[in-house]
Amino acid sequence: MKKKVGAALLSVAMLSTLVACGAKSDDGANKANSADTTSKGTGKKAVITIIQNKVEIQSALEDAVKEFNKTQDKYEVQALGAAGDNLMTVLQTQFSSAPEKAPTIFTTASGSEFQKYLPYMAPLDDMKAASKIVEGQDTAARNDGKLYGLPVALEGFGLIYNKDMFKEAGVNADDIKTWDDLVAASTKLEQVKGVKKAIAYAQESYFRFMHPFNWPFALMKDTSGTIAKINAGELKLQDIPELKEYVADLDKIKDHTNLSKDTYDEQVAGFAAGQYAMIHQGNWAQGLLNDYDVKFEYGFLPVPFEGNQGIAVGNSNFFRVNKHASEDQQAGAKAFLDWLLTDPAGQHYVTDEFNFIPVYSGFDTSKMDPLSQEVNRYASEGKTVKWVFDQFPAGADQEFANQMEKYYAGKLTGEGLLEALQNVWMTAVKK
Amino acid sequence: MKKSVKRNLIAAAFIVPSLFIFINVVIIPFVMGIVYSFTDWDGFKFAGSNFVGFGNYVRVFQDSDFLTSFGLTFKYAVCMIILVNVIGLSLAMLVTSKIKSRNLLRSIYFLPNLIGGLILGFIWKFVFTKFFVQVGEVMGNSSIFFNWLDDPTASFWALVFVGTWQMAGYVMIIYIAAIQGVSDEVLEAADMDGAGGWMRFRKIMFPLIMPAFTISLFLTLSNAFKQYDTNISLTNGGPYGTTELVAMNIFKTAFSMNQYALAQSKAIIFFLVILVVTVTQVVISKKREVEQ
Repeated sequence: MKKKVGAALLSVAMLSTLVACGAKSDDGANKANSADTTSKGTGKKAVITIIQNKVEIQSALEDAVKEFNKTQDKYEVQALGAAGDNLMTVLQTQFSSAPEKAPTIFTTASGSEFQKYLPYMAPLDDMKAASKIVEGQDTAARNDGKLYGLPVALEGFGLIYNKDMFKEAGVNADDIKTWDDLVAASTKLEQVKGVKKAIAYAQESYFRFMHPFNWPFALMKDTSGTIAKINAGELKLQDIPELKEYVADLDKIKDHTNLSKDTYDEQVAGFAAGQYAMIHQGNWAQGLLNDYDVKFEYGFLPVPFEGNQGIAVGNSNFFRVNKHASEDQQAGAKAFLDWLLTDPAGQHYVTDEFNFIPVYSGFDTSKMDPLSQEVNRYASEGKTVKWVFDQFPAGADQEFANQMEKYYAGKLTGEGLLEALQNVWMTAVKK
Repeated sequence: MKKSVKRNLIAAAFIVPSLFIFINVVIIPFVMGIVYSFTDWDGFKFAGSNFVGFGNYVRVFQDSDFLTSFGLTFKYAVCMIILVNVIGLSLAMLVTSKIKSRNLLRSIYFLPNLIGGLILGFIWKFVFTKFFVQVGEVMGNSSIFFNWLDDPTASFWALVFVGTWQMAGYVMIIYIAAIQGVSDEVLEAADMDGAGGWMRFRKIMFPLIMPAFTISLFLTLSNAFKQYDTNISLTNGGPYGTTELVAMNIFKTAFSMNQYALAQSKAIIFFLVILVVTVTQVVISKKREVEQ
């Protein structure tokens, strides 16, 4: 009798876990990985999923989505978990298994990522937001004249510097016009109490290599032409004068930097705590700085390479709509994006919650946060440098960053670094 | 006849679900993978891919990063096997002896195995990068308390250390079961014949727990070769790509460099190597097992 009861209880327990797991994973799978394709004809709302890679805005995005869902009842938008650095991997697996179940709205960069996912993008020329894009900011998303993406935000990076600390050290930011000025200023800044190093870089591949090396490439006379020659093997990195000069400059400033040992979090935290006078970052760090409740004034300082007076401004992230989603879903996706980018209720999220600098006309930009205002100021004064790192060979960013790490560890000289980068470049291009 | 049919049906009822899942999740993708490795598949639809024969396999052997990773993984596996089994066995002997806290110790030693590899990697990363450095600063210029993850050799040993820490408890449990299966009479007989502690261990205990060795060696070997989550969370291949084990190399080839067919070929080769090594190990170990 006992055995039978025991066996019965056990099988009930096992069956119930099976059912529970089955139900949960179904729900989870539906919410997180698939768009509901049974909306047509059953009266249910079309489900639109959105995925993007900026972890800073994820919770604000979820609020925006909730509000949009409340304003209408034809569509239901769901924000999928932010994939951060893994967005490309997630998109890859989603689109290769079942494109119609992949996220309805997704973001990719321009350049090679654009080309790779182009077969999955729907043209967006008929959208309201498309007509409001700021002059020139849509070219990177056009193919054969048709528009395939909506720019997410204008972003800029450069040296974010602590204005109060500069005053305390007796350094005038306007006087830093050459790299040697920067080195001299760094020495002065490190005299201030609590300062570990004058400049901090972060260790993630984009912050360690892609952004810092944007400067020499962008300030070349013919960036695309030069890169084409490098790809064809006609020109080597170690023979390009701008790169040789940049690496020599890196040598000069190396001792005043943190050797890019900190993570993004630690780098911004160190800046907020007054351990670093300057960080090589972009205006997307605004969210983090707000979290740290920074009390001092800060702004952007142009990287003084080759007489540069501007910050690197670009908009290489674009919203895309999945061409393989159902008609209803695509309409819903376009409705949500139009709401976000042209309706004041949605626009509030873009500027005040995401801290984005809008790339569209019709936005109220008077209440922007400090870094966004700075980027706007540089952009309106024409003091900008283009983002060209999306022309670097695709997928090689971590390899490039590894060579930078070797350089910072003293295992490579400046010359050696350029040779190593050249090797990585050539391997990545040969496919 | 009816009884045997009924019995077969019952047996089938239990096996079929698992078999179904196994075929769908393991066998079918495996066969698909073999097919993909002979093409130039780009990771999306298979439809437009062309057959390239053994082209991918040739490229694999020309990929110096892959070969370096493989060599490193071999080194890692050897270190892991030795350390995990020696420590596991020692802990098992400790825990089956007469000391008072043996039940508590059993739980404590097994605990690290319950923490997933990823979390473990992050915890130890914090210890190596922040805690060690702080202790080193307090104690002056120490040669042990520096940031292990900054130096290629130290990073390798950090990987081995964390892997051992995780696996030793698991292997200990297996050895405990084997040790407890050795009948007391045999040990008593050895004692009465005048065998000392070490002699008793070498000649009596050791051969009798050989089956446990087979299992533990097999588990440690295959786990060490397949190591990925601790690798990625502890070192992420760093510093500058020097602690990249094979699984990480394959993953990178596929998802960072977008070379899916090549990565698939690497994966097949990986599978074959592990197959050969582990089967060899099991065959050799089985030969040395002694019947109780």
